[in-house]
Amino acid sequence: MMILKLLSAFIFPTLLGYLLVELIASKEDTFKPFEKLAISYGAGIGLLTFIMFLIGAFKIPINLSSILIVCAVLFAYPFVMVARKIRVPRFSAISIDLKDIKWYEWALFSLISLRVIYSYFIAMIKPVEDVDAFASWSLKAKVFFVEQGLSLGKTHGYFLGIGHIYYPINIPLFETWIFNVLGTWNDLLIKAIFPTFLLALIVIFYYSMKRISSRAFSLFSTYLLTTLPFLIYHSATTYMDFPLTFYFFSSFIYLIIYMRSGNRSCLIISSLLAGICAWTKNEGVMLALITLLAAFVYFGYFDKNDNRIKASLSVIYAAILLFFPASWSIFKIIYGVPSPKDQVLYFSKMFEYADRIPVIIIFYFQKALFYGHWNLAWFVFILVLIFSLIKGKFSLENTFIVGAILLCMGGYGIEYYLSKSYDFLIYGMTLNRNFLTFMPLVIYYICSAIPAVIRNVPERSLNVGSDRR
Amino acid sequence: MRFPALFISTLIFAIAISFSSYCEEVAVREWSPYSGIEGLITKDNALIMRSTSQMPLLITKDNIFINASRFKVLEIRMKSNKSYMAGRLFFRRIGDPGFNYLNSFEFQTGLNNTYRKYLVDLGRNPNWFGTVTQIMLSPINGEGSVDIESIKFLEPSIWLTARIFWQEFFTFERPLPRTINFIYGPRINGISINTYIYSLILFISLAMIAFYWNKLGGPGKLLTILPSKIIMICFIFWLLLDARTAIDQFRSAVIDRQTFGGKSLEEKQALSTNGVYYDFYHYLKFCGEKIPSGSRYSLIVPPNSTYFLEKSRYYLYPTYENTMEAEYVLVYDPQKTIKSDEIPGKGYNKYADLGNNRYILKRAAGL
Repeated sequence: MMILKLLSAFIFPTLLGYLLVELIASKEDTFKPFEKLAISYGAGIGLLTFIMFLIGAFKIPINLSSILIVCAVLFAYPFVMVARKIRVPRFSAISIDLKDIKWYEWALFSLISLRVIYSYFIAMIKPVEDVDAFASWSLKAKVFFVEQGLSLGKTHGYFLGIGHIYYPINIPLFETWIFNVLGTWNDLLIKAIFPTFLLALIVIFYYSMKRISSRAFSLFSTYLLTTLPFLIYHSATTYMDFPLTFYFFSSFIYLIIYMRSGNRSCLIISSLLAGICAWTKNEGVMLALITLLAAFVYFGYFDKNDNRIKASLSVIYAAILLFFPASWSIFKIIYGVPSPKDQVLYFSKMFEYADRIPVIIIFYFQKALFYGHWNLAWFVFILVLIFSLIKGKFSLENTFIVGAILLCMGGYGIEYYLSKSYDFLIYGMTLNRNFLTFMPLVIYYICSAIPAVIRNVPERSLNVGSDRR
Repeated sequence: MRFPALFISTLIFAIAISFSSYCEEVAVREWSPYSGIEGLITKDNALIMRSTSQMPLLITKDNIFINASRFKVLEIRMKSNKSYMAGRLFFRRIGDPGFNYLNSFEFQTGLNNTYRKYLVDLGRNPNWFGTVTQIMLSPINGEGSVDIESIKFLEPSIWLTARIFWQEFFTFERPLPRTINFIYGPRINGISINTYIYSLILFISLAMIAFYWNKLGGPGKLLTILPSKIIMICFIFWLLLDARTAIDQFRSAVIDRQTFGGKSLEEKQALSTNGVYYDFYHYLKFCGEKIPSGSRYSLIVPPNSTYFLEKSRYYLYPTYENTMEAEYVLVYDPQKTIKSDEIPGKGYNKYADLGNNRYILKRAAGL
């Protein structure tokens, strides 16, 4: 019975997300069925928790009935409007002749599957045990569940669920949702959230590679993603870094797919996922802004639409993306939620902290290439980058990806340089976790640039793809 | 004819010398239980025992006299019914007042129920010098059975060094609370395996450049040929490293199954609240049953125990941790390390007692 409840706790937000994806991409088969489900999982969670957040912000009790009523009210009209257009995912359409699959493709698929099974096993065999998880994230979820609200009274000292109160509450609220569906507090079953994010990330990564390469190479690329030990480890923990990784990668990659294909559904999905990225962790705001910057640069310099369309696309993109962090910021102002002291940037101390710069560079170098256990990803990334530069084979999409990776490194670097987060760098607490958030992009860059480097063929570049609309 | 024969025999002798080493064995009769060990017996020249604590300890007499500058490798042949445990060997030199963590070495055990040899490079500890008079061994870090067949101190040799490097490469990086922040990856001689791989890739690349340069008569097509080959080599090492990672992931799965498999949620929660005070979860359960929901408490635990404060908030909620307005004071001090002035006396009465310095105080009415 518990398993059925757990399944329905996952199916409901995925259905919400599916409805939304169908609304956005109603005209064309932009996404494959599994890809659509993977997007729906991430988008659905963001949507559901945001609804829960709004309910809580208005001090309405957060329980199963209130959530379902609000969801019904919000989604009934758009659902009825497009009900006829909504298509059930046709998995039968995926007609793969098993005999066509080569033995090495089976091998790669098995290796990827093993990692997913491992992640589920490690996550689900034990309850929440990681420090920040029980000190903050899952404690918040428990408080929200027991109090049936966001705990906005300041009298008992557990305001906003205690712990890191200045962080957004996407995943804690999803844990609260699961407790509500289960009808009880269970800190073991909620851990299924995180391996499912891994599964969704793998699916999106595979299909994003599949758009530019063969099935075998896409499988190999996806396998490379699963060879990152820290990524697999985090997919079985209860920290926010892995969901953040999922949201950032998926938002950025759909922006890249828009650049390649001109498909506006991908653009909307990208902005939605970037917004939820900012709704997952404070660091997500920086990552979302990097995505926004990339979108603006693309609209400004490379998009071939006319200026009016470009302007409206920019506004829509920014509006969807900023909606989530803006709502959270307004909420924080209204309820007097303090800002994190560790993340305040002291620009006035720019020169005083100059001696931090070489330390940050050394830490980056050490963690990326030697002691972060990113396998050989960074080494190969640098090699491929050098070969691409020497050979002059650099597609616009890959320029954006490399730019985003460098901006992420720079953004985190500035935080270490000008804020108290420097201590977290010195004690080795956050650097690897921050790297984690953009590692799928690093692997994606390696795999998308390698064919051009080793085969001496041009990279799949902007507007070359046949799926441009 | 004589010179080559002499040369070859000298070479073989030199290799044999470099690969061989003299050993000093600590005989089984030298060992006796120190703490956390039950049923120690000697059978077929092996020590057989059962651990009953987190750090079971065996100790030798204080007159074993091992020359630390000569013997730099420790070899333990043992088996346990628990997989992938951490063992520790403490040593005490002439003049040392006692044992301490600085004078110790950690080693890791492999899969259960199989005799294996574990090598420890003693020379890496800067305190390994002089004459060692006594050693203390914790073969595993938990409850379980242990059979130790031999404990030897060996002179270093090339063969032993190679074996230590090989063992180091496969050393299990156990998931710990800090693993959430970083995984170091395999190291050899304290240096990341990536350093060795980069050196190898560089060496192979240079060799290929030289080869193709010579073959093609110049640098002309090097840029067409080499990138693909270099990247292929990188991928081969990448896959090998992944195979190594997979071993650690398998070990993690085995440990988690061993620890949590078949247990109830409550038992799992207790096991995940581990540490030195491993019964803290049971104390929290006791408090949860005694203190009314919604009341406020403060927690008094040994110094540097914020971990327990956060655990108490997590498990005791909807009871609130609030030091300033506490109606209840939870005292957890099984090790008796809390000073008496840290525990409120006046105005508080003992409310419930779990024994062994684990109790609850309640603020008297009217205060």
